Amino acid sequence: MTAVDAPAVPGGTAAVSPRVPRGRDGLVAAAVLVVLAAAPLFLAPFATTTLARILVFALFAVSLDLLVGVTGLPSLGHAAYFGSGAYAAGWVSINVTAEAPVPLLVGAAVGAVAAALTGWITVRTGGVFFLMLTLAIGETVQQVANTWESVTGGANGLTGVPAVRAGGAPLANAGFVYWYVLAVFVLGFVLVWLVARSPFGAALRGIRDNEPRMRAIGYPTALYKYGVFVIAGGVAGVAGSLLVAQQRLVTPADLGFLTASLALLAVIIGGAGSLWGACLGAALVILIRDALGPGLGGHGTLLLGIVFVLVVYLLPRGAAGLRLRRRSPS
Amino acid sequence: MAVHPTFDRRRFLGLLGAASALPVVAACGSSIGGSTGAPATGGGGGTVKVGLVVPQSGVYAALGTDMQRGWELWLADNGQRFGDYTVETVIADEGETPQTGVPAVQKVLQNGGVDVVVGLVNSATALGVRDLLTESKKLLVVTNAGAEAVTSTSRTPYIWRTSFTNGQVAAAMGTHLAQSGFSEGVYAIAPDYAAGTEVITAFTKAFESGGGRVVGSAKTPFGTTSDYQPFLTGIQSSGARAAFCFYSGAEAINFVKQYAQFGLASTIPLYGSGFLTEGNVLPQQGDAALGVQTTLHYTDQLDNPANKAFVQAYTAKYGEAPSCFSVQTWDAANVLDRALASATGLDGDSLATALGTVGAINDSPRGAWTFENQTPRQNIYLRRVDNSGGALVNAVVQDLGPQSQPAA
Repeated sequence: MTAVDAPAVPGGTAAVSPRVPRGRDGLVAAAVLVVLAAAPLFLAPFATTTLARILVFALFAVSLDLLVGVTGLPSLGHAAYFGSGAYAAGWVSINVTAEAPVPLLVGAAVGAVAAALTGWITVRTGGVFFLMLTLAIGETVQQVANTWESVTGGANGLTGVPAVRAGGAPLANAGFVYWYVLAVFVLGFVLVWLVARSPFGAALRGIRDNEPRMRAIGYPTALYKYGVFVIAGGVAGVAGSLLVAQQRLVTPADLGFLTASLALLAVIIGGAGSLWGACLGAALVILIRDALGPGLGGHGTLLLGIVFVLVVYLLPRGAAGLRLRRRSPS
Repeated sequence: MAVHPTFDRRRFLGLLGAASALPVVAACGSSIGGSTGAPATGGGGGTVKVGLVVPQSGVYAALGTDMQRGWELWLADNGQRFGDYTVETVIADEGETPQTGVPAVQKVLQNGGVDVVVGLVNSATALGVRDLLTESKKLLVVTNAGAEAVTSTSRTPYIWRTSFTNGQVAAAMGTHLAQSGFSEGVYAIAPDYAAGTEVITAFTKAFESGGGRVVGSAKTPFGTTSDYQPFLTGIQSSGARAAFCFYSGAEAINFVKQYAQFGLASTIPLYGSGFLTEGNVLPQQGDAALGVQTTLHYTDQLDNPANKAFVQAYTAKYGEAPSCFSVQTWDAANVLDRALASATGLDGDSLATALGTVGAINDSPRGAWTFENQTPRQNIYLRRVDNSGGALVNAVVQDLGPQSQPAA
C-alpha cells in the first residue's frame, strides 16, 4: 500500500519499500477500516452521504493513480470511463435489475470495454500527446451523453435510478448505501493495490521511469500500457456504478473535463503514485466541493484552487511525501 | 535548514483535521434507523426555515443574484414573515451542474434542517433531487428550471414550480407566428441539448397545428458554438420568412449579434423564446437586438400596479431593473406566504395540500396566475426590444393570454 511510490532519492526505494508494509501499516489500515465501517453509527445522514461520496471519488482517483502515478500516463479523460460505467449501471438498474452485483459488474464491464476501445490509440502516445488525446476522448464521450437522449436522458441526465437491492431488499437508508459503497471500495482498492505491487506493476513503474530501456530489455511496453489502461478503465467503471448507487443520478457533468481534472487534482494533492495519498486527495476535494463549498457564497472553487496552489508549493510530493520525509533524517 | 517552507506531517494532519472538523461538528447523530429523524426546528409554530439554493458561482451566477434579490425583496417588504411564521433563510450555492447542485440541496435538507427548499436554475438538478425530497417528505419550490418532466412525467406532490416550462413559452410563439402571416415558412434553431429540444418541439407543434410550415431547422452544438455563420447561411438559403430561436447567456449574445451583422435582421425577422433578450444579456447585445421579438411570462415593462410597485422598489434597492428570474423567486415567497396561512404543518404533505388551495395569485408583477398541475398557468407576453430613453427594454407588443404547460 505504501511501496508503490519509488522516490527519486537513490536508495530510497530499497530503504522504504520492502520493510514497511507488514506490521504497523497493516494495523493502521485495519484501524482506518474499522473507523470507516463504524462511521454511519455515529454520523448524521449528511456526513454519511458525504463520506460515501468521498469513497466513490477516492476509488475513481485510485484508478487514475494507476495510470498517472504508477505508469506515468497523465490522463485528462479518465472521467469518460467513470461516467460510462455510471450510465451503464444506471441504465441497467432502471431497465433490467438493480440487484446488487449486476449494476456493479455491468459498470465495470462497460468501463473496461470503453477503455479497451479507446486505449489502443492512446497508449501509443505519451506525455502531452497522451494528455490531449485523452482530453479529446473525454469531450467526445460527454458530447455523446449530451445528445443521445433516448438512452442517457441528454442534458437532463439519467434520473429516477432505483436504489441498489441486496438480497431482494432495496438499500434505501443512507447508512446501508454507505456500507455497500465501502465494501466495493475496499475490494476495488485491494485490486488496484495488488496490481501495483505485482511484477506487472513493477514493469509499469519501469515504463514510467524509462520506457526505451524497458523496451530494450524485451518488455512489450505498449501491451503493458494497454493492459493497465483497461484495468484502470474497469475500476473507474466500478466507481461509476457506486456513483449511481450513491446519488441515483448521472448527468453529462459526471464524465466531463471538470470531473476528470478534479480527479487528477486529487491524485496530485495526495502525491502521484501513492494509492492512499490519492484517497486523501479525493477526501479533500469532495469535502471542499460538497460540504464546505455550498456555504461559501460561490467561492468553493476558489478555495479548491488555493488549496491546490498551497499543496504544490508546500508539499511538492503531495500528502504521501510527508511520510517519506519523516523517515529520512532531516 | 530547508529552503522550501515545508510542512511537517504533524502540521499537515492538524490542518486536515481542522478542515474536516468544520463539516463534522454539526454531523453527529446516526444514519441507521428511522429516516424521518429531521429535527423539529424552532419553537414549533414560530419559525419556518427555508433553504434558498441558487447559483452563486459558474455561468448562472447572474441568475442566482436576481433570484436572491427577488426573495429578499419580498421578505423585506413583508417583515421577514410568512403569516405567523418568522422566516429564516439558509443560502447555498447551486453551482453550475447537478454535481454541485444535488449536494447543496442535500446539505440544506439534512444538515441545515430546513422545512422548504426554494430555487434551482438547472433542470437536471431539479430532476435529480426528486427522490431526495420525496423520501424526506419536504417541499421544493422550483423558481427557474423549465424542463417539462419536472411537472409531468417526473411529477411528485413535493415539487412545485413558480417559473415556466420551456414548451409553454415556445408554444405561445408558435401559435402567434402561425396567425401573423409567417405560416408559409419559419426556420427553427436551438442548441443541441434537452431544453433546446423541448423548445423546438413545442414551437413546431403549436406552429404546425396553426397551419404553419417549418421549412428548416438546425441544432447547434451546445455551449461550444461561437461562430454561427454556417447556420445563418442555412437560414438565408432556406426561403424562410422568419426565424425562431432559443438561446440564453453567452450564446444569446453571440447569436443575436451575428444575426444582425450577417444582415439577416432586415430580411428575415428574428423571433425567440424570451431568454434570448432577458436580463443582463440585453445591454451586451446592444443595438443588434433592436426589433427582436420574443415571448415570455414577464417583462419589467408590464403596465400593471403590482409590477410598477415591484419595479420601483427593486430598482431603488438594487440599482437595476428586475428580470423574470427575480419575479419567479419573489412569487415563490408570495405563494409560500399564502400556503402557510392555511397549512396544518411544515411537512411536505401539509404544505403541498395548502399550495393546492391558494387559488389565483392576483398580486404578482407578472399578472394574475394560478397553479395547474403544480406549475403556473399564466399569461405569456409578446415583447419587442425597443430603445426607451437610451436604454434597451423588452416592450410589450401584445398579451397572448393565459397559457398552460403544453400536453406532452
